[in-house]
Amino acid sequence: MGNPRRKRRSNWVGIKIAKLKACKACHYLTNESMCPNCKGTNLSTSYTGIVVILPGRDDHEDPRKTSYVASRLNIDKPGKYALKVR
Amino acid sequence: MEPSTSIYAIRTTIGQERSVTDLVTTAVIGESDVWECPFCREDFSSEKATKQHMKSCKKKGKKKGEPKLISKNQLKGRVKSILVPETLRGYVFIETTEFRDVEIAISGVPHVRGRVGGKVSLEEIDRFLAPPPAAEGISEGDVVEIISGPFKGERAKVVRVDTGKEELILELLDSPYTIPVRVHADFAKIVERAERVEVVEAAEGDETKAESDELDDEDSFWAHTPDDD
Ligand SMILES: [Zn+2]
Repeated sequence: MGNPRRKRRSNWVGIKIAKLKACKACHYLTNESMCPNCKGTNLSTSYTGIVVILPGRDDHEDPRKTSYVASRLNIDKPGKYALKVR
Repeated sequence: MEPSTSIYAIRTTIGQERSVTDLVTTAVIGESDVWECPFCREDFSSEKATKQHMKSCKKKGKKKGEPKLISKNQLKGRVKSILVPETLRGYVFIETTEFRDVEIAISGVPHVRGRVGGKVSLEEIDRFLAPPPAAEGISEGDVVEIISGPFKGERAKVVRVDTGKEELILELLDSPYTIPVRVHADFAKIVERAERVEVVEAAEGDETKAESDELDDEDSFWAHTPDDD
């Protein structure tokens, strides 16, 4: 298979990135114009890296208690976050 | 906190890291447990809901029974997080209770090219969680190539580094004018270092690495032999 996507890759990824915006305050990724996590309105389309914190069996458990990544990044709610926002 | 988890690396098709992440996420949270009423065999998603139904199940009659667990979501509560650093293309990290969870989570997911043997050390993960500031490793006098924006493709000399803002003040090399240009450090790639005694370790240049399709094979754990099939 030739890979026609390969050359256009950066553009193609760019389009996908443009869909979700990252909250500058809590890094939560969203389609909305207000962050559903912290109600912040300062959102950015410019971010790199993604972190998904998954819910535990008990939906109310604090992920920082069981996940190294969540505790390092101090993320207290499951969800999809940007690693670095600018 | 002493987490009882480990972090494993999987290799993906370059550019598909995010789609792999979405599919693994779905595998973890998309499926619920299946419980069955012992009387009428109707399915429910929890033991509690099954018990609730059993109280008034039409087929109950005088029979006694317990909710029957048909299948259990094996991943929920065991896969804790997924990390896509993006400074390292073609890799996704999964934090789980056991290695077996990784195998279940990635089974059938397109664009997964294999697993990397062994755990990833927390020090390595920390490097991705707190990426060095973009301007790190770039100094005055270096020559950079601008890789995005209106000056894309131009070469420029670094006049000043604004580390706090992660910005570089550049002077375009092939321009007849010496107008200083302000560019985010993420958008500059070092092509030539100013002469100085000590050169910052190349492996730390995440932003440079992100632009290159080459994987740095000397770089710690991903030098492991991938143990696909
Ligand atoms: Zn927020």
